[in-house]
Amino acid sequence: MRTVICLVLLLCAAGFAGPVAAQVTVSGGLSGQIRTFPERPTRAEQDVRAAQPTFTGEAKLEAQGPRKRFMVTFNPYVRYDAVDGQRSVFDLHELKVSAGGQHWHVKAGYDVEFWGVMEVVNPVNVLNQTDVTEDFLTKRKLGQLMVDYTLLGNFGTVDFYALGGFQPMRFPTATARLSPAVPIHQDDVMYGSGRGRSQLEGAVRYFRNVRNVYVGVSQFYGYARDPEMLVAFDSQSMPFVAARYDLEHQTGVEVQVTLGNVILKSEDVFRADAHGRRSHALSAGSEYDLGSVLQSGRTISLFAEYYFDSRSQSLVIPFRNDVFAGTRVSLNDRRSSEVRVWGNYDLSARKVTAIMVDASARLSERLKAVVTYRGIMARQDALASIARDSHFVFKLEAFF
Amino acid sequence: MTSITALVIGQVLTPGAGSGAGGADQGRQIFAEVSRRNGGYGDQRAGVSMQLKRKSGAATTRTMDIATLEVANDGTRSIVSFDSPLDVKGTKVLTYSHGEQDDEQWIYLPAFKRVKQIADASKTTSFMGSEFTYEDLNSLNIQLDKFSYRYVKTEDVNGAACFVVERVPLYPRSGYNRQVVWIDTVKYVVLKVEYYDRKDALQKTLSLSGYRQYASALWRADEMLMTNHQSGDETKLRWTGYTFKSGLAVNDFSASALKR
Repeated sequence: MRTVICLVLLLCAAGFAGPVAAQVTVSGGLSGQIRTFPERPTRAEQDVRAAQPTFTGEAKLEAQGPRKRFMVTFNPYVRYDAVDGQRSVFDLHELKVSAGGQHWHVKAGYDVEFWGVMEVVNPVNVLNQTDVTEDFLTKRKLGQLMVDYTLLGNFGTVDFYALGGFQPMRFPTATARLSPAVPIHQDDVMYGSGRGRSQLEGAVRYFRNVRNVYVGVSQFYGYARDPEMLVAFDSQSMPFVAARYDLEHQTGVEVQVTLGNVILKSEDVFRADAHGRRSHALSAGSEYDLGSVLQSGRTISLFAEYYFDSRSQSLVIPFRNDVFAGTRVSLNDRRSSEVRVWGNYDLSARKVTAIMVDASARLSERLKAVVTYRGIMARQDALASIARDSHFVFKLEAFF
Repeated sequence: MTSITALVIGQVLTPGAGSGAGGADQGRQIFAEVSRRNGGYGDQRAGVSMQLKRKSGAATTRTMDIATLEVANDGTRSIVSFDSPLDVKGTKVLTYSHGEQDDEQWIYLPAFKRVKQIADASKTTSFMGSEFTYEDLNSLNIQLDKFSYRYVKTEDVNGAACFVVERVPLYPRSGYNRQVVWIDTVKYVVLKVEYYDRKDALQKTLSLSGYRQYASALWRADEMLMTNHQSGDETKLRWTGYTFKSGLAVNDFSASALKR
């Protein structure tokens, strides 16, 4: 880790030592939000306050040389939760230097890399740790220390990654809403490697677009981002859960075919951990754009996806054998108003267990309002411990 | 160049040229000349200020940077990078505009650092709430094979003699039944476009003005005003800081380049 940080600082110094002045831009945003839970919690020890205020701040500083051939990016993110201290987070989302030419690109430092094509669950997206306290079934990722060397050409794009400074997952406190029934000890973390967080990880990914067909293949070796949860007992013989991160190989395949207003896509992963255990996850589905059919000037997308995971548990994705369906409507108006509604159907339990609504609109050049609803209807499965934690979030975002 | 121009003008001014195969040939030849004179730039870049004005008078402004690359025998590639409004700052849209075949389009969402390929059908949707659609923006770069053509007549626009050519989209899922285009007979630049919707009703008019010549050859409009006759709203694009042949290449217009 120290080596990478030294490399970052050296590259910074080298990039700006020349006579060419860098172009510097600063931007960012602040938000205030209230989470409200209409129902009383499942467990007596949980917080009964109906409203949970949260504040976030984010800044982005970019300094770039001529034609973006050299760039330094600093993009920290902070979240303060007035009720659940473990939901407060400081994330070094981006702190990187990057340089490149026509056929290559290199970056070193903290960054977020998104892999995948699906709308709901992206099993191939494995490099960054998930910020699970941010939202139910969140897509938000934490910055990951990495060096990424990219080769570009007619053959496609190949990325080689070296990763370090693993970040274990953060969980809500035991008394907070949306927390598991058995308390998770944040500091009792076990690693499959004696190097612990210092374990070096690696990945390679190839992807290519040929007209309307996109194919991506990836190979990752490192800690599973989604830990195995082990039950243990404390000195008073009270049970708690500790997270264990084993080293694993993950092979991922992503495919997307765009046929006019229909998009077909899938993500497949095959995992093998250090204990010889193998697992498989598949997500496949389609997206249909109604906008051109209705000629309304609006973007109206329908999507349906199937997800299967052979593992028995996951903290990131509380679904095993589910169909998701939903719609996303963008009015394409001056306020960029849009709403997304979707839900799942659990094929094993044969019932709908979650419904999600996200709506947003710009209030002014600098203000945006966001309203979300997370309806959780499961009572006896992976979602049982949060069965009464359906909630609304009212958020106001200001940008500078 | 002179001989081609003379050929085109000689043909289009022939009486009765607006009908039949001759009208089609002449219409296409005029657009070929527009393309020949204003293409060949390699790559170009410009800042764009987009003012959206409602019929009621309320106005808002968006700013962006648009970079375009000509690709031999395969249309153009372009990236629109948004600067404002601030909640979409950093969002980029990459478009591969082909001939008759479907265009390809990707959007980069900075909040998730995600590049997502989107359905080509989105070409008929409004661009950032403006009176322009993605289809309108793409067709600013002349690509001959995207349309069939019919020369109609000559007519003055603001004192400038213009060829009037009707063009019909050949690509799938266009929002228009046809477009009528006024082209300056001297500079071979587009001065006006009328867009007719799928019911063949006049939907919008685009007026281009403030043409200036760059790099001793390329004419570019400083201002484009799109008026929606059905809603009464209008959008004005102001182009500034044109640069050409700055060395942009195919890899600068790839899905992976959007993240940089």
